[in-house]
Amino acid sequence: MSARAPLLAVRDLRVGFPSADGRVIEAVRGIDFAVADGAAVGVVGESGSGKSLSMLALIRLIAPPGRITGGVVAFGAEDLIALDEKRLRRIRGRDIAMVFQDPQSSLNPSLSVGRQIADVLRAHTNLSAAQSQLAAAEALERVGISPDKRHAYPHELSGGMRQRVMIAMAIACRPRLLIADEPTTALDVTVQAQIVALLARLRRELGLSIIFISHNLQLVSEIVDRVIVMYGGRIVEDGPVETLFRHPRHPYTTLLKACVPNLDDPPGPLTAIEGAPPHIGHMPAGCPFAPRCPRAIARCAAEMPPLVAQDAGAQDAGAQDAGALDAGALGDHRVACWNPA
Amino acid sequence: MTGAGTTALELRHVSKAYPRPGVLGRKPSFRALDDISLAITHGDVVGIVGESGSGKSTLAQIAVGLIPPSAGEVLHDGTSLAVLARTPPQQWRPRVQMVFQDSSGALNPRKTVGRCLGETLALRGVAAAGRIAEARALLALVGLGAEVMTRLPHELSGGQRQRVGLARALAMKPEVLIADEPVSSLDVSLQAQIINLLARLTRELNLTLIFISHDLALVRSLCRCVVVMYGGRIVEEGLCADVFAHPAQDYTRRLLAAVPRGLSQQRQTATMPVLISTSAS
Repeated sequence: MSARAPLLAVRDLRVGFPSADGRVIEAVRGIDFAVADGAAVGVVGESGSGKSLSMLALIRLIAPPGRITGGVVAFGAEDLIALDEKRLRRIRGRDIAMVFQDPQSSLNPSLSVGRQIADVLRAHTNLSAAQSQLAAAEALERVGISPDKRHAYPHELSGGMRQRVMIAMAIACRPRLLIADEPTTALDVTVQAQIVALLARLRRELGLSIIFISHNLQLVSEIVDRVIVMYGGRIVEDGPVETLFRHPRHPYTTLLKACVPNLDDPPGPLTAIEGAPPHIGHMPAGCPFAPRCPRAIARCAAEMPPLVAQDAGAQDAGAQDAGALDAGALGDHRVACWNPA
Repeated sequence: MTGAGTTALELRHVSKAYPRPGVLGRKPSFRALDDISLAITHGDVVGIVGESGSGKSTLAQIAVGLIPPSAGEVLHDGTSLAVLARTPPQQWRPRVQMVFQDSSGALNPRKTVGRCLGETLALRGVAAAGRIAEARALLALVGLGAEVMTRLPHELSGGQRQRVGLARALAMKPEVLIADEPVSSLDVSLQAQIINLLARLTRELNLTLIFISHDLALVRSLCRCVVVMYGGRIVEEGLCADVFAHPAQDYTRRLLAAVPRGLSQQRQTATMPVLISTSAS
């Protein structure tokens, strides 16, 4: 695994918005990470942490006036940030596909779901109309929907079925990377479980890499290999899911996990993170989490902690030499905190 | 539910049927609720769980009087809602209030928070002179500062809006609060804040709380009793401690099995069947 180049390598990615006085306010403030081929990576954090924005930036889906202000997104031999729009459009939807939280607003209500999947196929492949109909039926079958349902309209399907259709549409062109942005947040717990299981199965069957964006660490931990925790437009901790789940070091990760009660917990008050994430434009000078952090020390407010690899015995010297970017795919554990647990 | 106190809210053989559009109207109507009987004691904290389509939101809307039942009776504090509805508003204050999943849809987008609370207080008969002070006190109660009085709903965060929705419900001085998926559209961190707030208010204001959610772990942490609904019926009810430890119904067991547990990967996700056929076309 260590010899293989990652499928996706992101270096110093930044997204900014113009402020009223003409400056650029950064909402994503320089993030580095990599996704190994076939790996599943979870991206967690509260609303406003920059998690969706950074992942949308990977395929340059940033709505103006927001724009990518810097960074490299290496996908195979190409830098998606520098790529011309025409070539990017070919990669987007074919090699890299997305699934969003609300399938209702992503589906065309006046076309059958089979037709919509076939349209995507025709846009990205050389298949004929008849062939794409067939491939659409196949894609539906792969996500557990009977091919007869290809004539159904979105409103005739339940929320969970609609999300399956979105996933069928996303995988129809056999992408290498699927970016799923809160794909289960609007769904019931049972349907949620089915969708998570479906993503795990597709990853196995198709050798798909997955970026799973969610505010729920428990949920993503069920199917990912690595977790990236974001706060204030930065990565505050990342590493193998086992490490982050069992031995989180950043206080934010610890609290994010503790917020979600377990069924076996005794009844009583929940652990809450008081306050709210900082607004862009009002970022603290130091660690963005410092104002809410129970472990904050004087240095936290004054100075931004860098994201540094932890010295746990898990990583070998070779990984150290490979540099932060490659190490991101190899199983190291990084934390940005002056006073980690 | 059982208890020594008096009954704050009762549903007696409540059903709700919706006609289904069919050629010549021959399709049988859809039974959203099917003969529900439920009594909730003053001061109790009761969770109602079930999937979309199980009827839990319909139950809430009927209990608060937003929609009429097709059959059966709803009683607030022992008096039938049908009787209360004919009582002049001056002589009757609604004892049951509701908080919705999406407060942005429940708050008028063109009215400031202060105006919204003021109108609710006026409805309760609070004199104009006292409304501002009381609105501020309500906001403080839900953890908001007086500065949000002049804000419009869209200027608030999701968590703040949910707190305003709660303040407005409390402005009517209810005895029973029905919270319908109040945290489902919020982040995990905000979820915990709002759940803790609900628990504190219930205690401090002596409220009866009905908490509707599909999140069983939240119900377990907040509620004393739980009612499990499926297909418009109550399939199981009892103390949380009992139902969660020893579910009697297969459906309850399957709901419990679907709760995310992080790494353990013990969810039976791979084999989980589609549980509800009514909603899947």
